[in-house]
Amino acid sequence: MVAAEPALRTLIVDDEPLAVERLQILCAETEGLALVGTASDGEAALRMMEALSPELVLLDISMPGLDGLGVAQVLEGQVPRPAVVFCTAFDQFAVAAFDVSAVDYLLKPVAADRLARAVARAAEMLRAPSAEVAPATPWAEEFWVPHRSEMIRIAALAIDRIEAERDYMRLHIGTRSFLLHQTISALEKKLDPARFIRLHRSTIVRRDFIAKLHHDKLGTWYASLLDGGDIRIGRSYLAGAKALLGRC
Amino acid sequence: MDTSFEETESSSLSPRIVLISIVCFWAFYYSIVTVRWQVLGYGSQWGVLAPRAVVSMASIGLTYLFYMVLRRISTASQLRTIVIAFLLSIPAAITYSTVNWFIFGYWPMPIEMKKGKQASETTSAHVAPPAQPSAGIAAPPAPPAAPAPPETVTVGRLHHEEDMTPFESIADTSVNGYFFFVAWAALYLSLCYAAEVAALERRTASLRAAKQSAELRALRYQVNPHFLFNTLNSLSSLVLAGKRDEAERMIINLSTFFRTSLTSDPTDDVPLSEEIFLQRLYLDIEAVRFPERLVVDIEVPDALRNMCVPGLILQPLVENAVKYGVSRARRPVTIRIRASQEEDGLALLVEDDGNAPPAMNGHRPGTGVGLQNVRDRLLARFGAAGGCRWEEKPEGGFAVKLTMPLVRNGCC
Repeated sequence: MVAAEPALRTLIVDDEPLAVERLQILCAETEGLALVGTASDGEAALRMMEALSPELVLLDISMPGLDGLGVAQVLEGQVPRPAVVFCTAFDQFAVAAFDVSAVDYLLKPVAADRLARAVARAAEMLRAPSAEVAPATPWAEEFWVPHRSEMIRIAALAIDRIEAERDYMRLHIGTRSFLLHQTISALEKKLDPARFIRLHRSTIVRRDFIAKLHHDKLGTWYASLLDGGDIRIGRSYLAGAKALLGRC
Repeated sequence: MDTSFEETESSSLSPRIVLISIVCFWAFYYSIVTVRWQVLGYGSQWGVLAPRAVVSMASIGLTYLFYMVLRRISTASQLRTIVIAFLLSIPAAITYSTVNWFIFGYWPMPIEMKKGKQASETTSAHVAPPAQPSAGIAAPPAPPAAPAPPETVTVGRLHHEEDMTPFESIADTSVNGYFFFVAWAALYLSLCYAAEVAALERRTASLRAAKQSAELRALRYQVNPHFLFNTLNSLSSLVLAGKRDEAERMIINLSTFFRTSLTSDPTDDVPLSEEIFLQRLYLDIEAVRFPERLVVDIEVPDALRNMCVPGLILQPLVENAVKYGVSRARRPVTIRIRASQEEDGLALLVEDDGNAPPAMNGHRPGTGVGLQNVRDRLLARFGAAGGCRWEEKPEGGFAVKLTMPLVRNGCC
């Protein structure tokens, strides 16, 4: 089945020769892709993409001149657009990366099976391009979050609630939670307001995760969540929360 | 900050010292009276030595009691404590005087002697000038009812005393005793004050030391994860490509670098040669990542190789030069490290000839914190004699200059 698929034409972009060499070796051992070229900085990458029109780009982020994020932003408006898989040594760019729709996010040194998964994901996306190429909403549909030793993708709508923890946001999904380096206001702007509501200075909740609203004798309002938790509603967010009642 | 430290700070004066001060105080009294008796030739004093000792012992106990009460009610306000001490001295003095009167009144001794001695003890022992009751040496001699009493001011009192009722006699001695207790209270309070000042000084010194060590610890070099993972990536590449020897060399370099940087005490100094060796090691590792872009040029005069510098002080500078100078350029970039002796100390220069950063005036993005840390470390270590200055070079690149005093010993 896989062998029947045409191999993805792949471009490697990295400024460190050894890093390029490593990916070349890995690519040679990975099924489903065919290496068409390598570039050592952002500008060269764009030139090569124009000449070679690859379907997959393994893109380093930190590079002299135009960096990986800059390259991805240029690609954003292009049709057809190659699938972008970021490869980076450290997850500090995770937040910026979800502004450009990357297919995957790999951490160096990239393990062979992890690369194979990214290639499979890219192939899948390229086969069903409509969903990814023309995003239906301006809202973020997924986030890349660090989890153990890799970056994983979580769907925005899977998030039950978000709590601010100092410089980080903790995204709660069922019993698991993930940290994202982001401010709550920036995160709120990325979330579909029809799906999420801010209840407190440090809390955002998915609307359908709220079971009911109630208040105590002192007039403080709370939102009871489906998992049994109670969230105190901040005074300035109360009007928005009550509008929720009206809708039900 | 441990609790034992807090405790020693709060209990300012130990009871042992108080007891010593009391015993010394009364022993001094005892000897001064005895010496005076001898010097002024009041005759044999064998009979009074014992009752005098008993009075002194009782006084020691009484003064200790006085101290216990004083300690309990002494307050934070110094003035109030002094007033309380003055007031408390009144009952103490009366008690003392009463004890004195009874002991000398009922001590078995020849009646002749008793008369004179008692008068002598009660009056002369405490007849010292009110202002300095313990300084009995300066006191005018208070003669006993001896055959030939010297012509002094106390003569009249002495004769007068013989006619006193016990109550009057006790009241009279109380006045002298009062000054005695006030004097001891003054001594006690000044000892307390001295202890407090000493404790405060100890605490300040200890706080200062703790603060400095915490500062240094906070400023210590932390392994840059970006460097670590990029290096592991290069290493993995060497392994995959079968470049065995290069991989091995890199693993050795990497472990030496991490062992040194992770185990070094941030408060320790190291010889400049060792610091340079470590930076060379770091640059060797980075050279594997940037084989065509990184050029290293290090020059340290032999005379300066054994000078002491804070460990890893150059690391943030060299790291910045790689991160902002080398990794952002598409051409070879030279990182230059120079040591030189300037009139007032040692100067270390780290510079690169990388690109001028786009649209940044005199400041590379992200370098501020690292350089500020280096500056803070030098300040914490050397005070005003340590310095860190940096500049964006007009022709491109970045230069940082560290200055510190020449330290020859203290690191090995």
